[in-house]
Amino acid sequence: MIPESLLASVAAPARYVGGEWNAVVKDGADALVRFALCYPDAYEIGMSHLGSRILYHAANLRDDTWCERVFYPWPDAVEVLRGKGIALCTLESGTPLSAMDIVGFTLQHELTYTTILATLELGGIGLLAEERGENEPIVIAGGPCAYNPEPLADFIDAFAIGDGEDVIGEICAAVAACKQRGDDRKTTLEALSQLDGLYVPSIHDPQSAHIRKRVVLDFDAAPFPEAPIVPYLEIVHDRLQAEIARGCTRGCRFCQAGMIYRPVRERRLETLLRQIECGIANTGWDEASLISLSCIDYSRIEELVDGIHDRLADQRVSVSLPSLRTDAFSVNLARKVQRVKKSGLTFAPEAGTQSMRDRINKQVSDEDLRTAAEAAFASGWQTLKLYFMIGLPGETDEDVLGIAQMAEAVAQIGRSHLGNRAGRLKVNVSVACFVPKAHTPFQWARQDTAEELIRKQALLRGAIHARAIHLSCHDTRRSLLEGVLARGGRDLGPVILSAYRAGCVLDAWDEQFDFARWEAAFAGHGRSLQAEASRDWDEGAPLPWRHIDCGVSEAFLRREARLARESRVTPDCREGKCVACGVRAIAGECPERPGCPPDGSDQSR
Amino acid sequence: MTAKAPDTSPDLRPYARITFQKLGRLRYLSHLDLARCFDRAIRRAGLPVAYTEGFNPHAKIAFASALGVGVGGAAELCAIDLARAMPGGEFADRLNAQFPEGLRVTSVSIEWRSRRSPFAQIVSAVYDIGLEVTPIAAASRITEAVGELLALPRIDFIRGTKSGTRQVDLRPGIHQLSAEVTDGPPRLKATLSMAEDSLVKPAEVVTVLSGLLNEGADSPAEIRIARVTRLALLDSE
Repeated sequence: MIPESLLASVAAPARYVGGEWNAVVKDGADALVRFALCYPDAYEIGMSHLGSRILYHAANLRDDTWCERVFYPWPDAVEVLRGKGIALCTLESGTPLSAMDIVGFTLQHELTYTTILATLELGGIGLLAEERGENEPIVIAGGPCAYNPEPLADFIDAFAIGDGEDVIGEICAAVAACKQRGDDRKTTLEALSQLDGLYVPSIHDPQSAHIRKRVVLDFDAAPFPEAPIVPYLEIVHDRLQAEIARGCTRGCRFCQAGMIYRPVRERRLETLLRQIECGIANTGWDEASLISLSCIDYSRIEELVDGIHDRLADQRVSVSLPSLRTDAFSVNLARKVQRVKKSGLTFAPEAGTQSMRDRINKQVSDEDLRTAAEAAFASGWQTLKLYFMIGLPGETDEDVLGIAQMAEAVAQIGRSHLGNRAGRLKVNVSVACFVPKAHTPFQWARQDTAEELIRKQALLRGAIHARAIHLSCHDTRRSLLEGVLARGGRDLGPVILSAYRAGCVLDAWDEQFDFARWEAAFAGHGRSLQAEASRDWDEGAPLPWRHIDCGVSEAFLRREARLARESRVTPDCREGKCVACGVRAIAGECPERPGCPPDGSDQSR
Repeated sequence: MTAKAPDTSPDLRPYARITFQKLGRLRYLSHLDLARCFDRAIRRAGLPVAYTEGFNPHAKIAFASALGVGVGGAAELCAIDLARAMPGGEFADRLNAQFPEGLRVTSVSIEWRSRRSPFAQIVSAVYDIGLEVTPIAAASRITEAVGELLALPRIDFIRGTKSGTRQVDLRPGIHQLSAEVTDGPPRLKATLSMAEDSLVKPAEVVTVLSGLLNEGADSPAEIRIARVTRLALLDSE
């Protein structure tokens, strides 16, 4: 929140107005625990994040806690606040961050790290955890990047690993109890370190600690906001989001989400229909989006889509399926959804040749893509989006050129379907650079150098001829930084701090990202960003995140890494055979294979 | 506020003619944000509005005049097409129950119209302009400066446009202007033209006034707009 007198001097002031519909306002005097839930990016990004909305709701279910939102102001507003000496405040009550009891960050991707430091500093909180005073808030962090917490361990008092719905309440309860007893900071952190799933760097020794992630097994009953906040300005995902399932067992070897969110849990159809109906009634949004890592895999997806349509079509509410599988079933379902509203179709073959798709365990064939494209064009779509990656382990030029061949094949199918309307055909090909992530089979993989990636991008560009194909390639240098931060150790803390001091902030934004500053920050500590990104990894050396147990065992990851080198696939365990990923040690009985022993030893079925 | 007797002509459709306020922090919403607010509040309220056809259906709302970001409105006008007529009072109550603080319907009348726009041409608007003057002592000269401004036969002003700059005469578009300088911060009340050929914006009046105030002054005073509220829209009828 920004004082009203300053709103006239900033761009898009609706970001800072507060008081949106469904924002939770409590009496500050009644709340024993004041919690600032921070998203280290602009309002439009942070408000689009479903996980933060869930945590906001879960924390505010407690009578003793008031959880408020904080987003990082756009640089023009930061300048105004700094100029007037005004601290960053929460959106709901306008309280400076430094006056909160808990300041929590969600770690969605590595390029937000400097913005976390910027948020803390603008909020009047010391950056280094060990230097924080008795009256400063406890700074916690969770989310996917917390699975390798070490690069941020200098700045964060406690990390929460895994699903947050239950643990956020436990954290509030622990802090409330400490506050009532008048405990000092150290005692409070000790209390937090006793909670399952919490990693407190000042107490736990990463050499010997074993922090097992939290899992919400009764996903259907987990807290979920049925009256989410409705923003004033248009945000990135400006629609109701329904989390239909969590976890994915397709086993793509590059995908961190596919490993760390296991096991797969689905919400019941009846629960979802109620949540969506309530959500629309409480927000007035005209679109509901079905969220999960692979929403077509939801076991009753057709019934769900039909059910939403039956209940809400007369209110002109449409459904969107953000993650389609590359098959005709998905296209037909999308077509059904389009009864109300038209939007684009996206497929993610990820790699250009069958051997590379086998290597990364992305089980999509050329035939699948052809069939899906045929179905899409036959149903009237004129624009398809295709997602690929380059820089994957063991990649050859043939794999890169395969992307062009797939795109050309899709364009050819489009031309033959559209006939004299072929001028309207668009095949948008988005090519990301592979970034190896912790807790995946590719966590030991070498990352291509910037030169290699740029050469491959040029190779690809030269191989695409159809006018309908629009190729967009990700910034190679940003991917390198992401890779170094994703697999770094605690020794990265001082580098991140130096980069922030040098002015790095909002690194995910093109207009803000400054690679030279990052390189200089590494160089200032006698290191080379580019060399670290593309170094070979010793598979025998201890990993910086070895104390974090995401449920999937290291033995499984090593086996998958070996199978990748042999271009051998591992089928989804939902197709019948347990792949012994290890998650049952946490989840107890595997939800997919009731009766299986928890050690994953039952390979026979 | 009673609905006019429905015409038997099949071309006539019911619509809600609404007067509303956009005040407080919500003055910082853009026109698009405001339209979105209406659309969502209407759906939450379950009001029987008419939707546009096509792939992206939305409620048919027509605003008489867009408000700029930062400008409040005390009596703004809009019209919402209805699928069926309903009592205006109930419409207002149900919409107000779904409006965030700062946005409020003050009156609704249900009327009938054919395809013609529901609003006559807006020709001028009345503004309340709160000022911040430093040093505050200079505020006492504002009344005098207003008198000088009104006495000018023409006011040449360079206006920035999309394609460059253009010189305009502001004077014909300043219909009324008065200053209120009492104990609090000074304010202006201005009736300014909204017609295309003589349009004047509140900020332009303040710029001109600032120039007059500082004419021949040893140390120039700084005049800033603290907040602007459009009090009324005046049409040609």
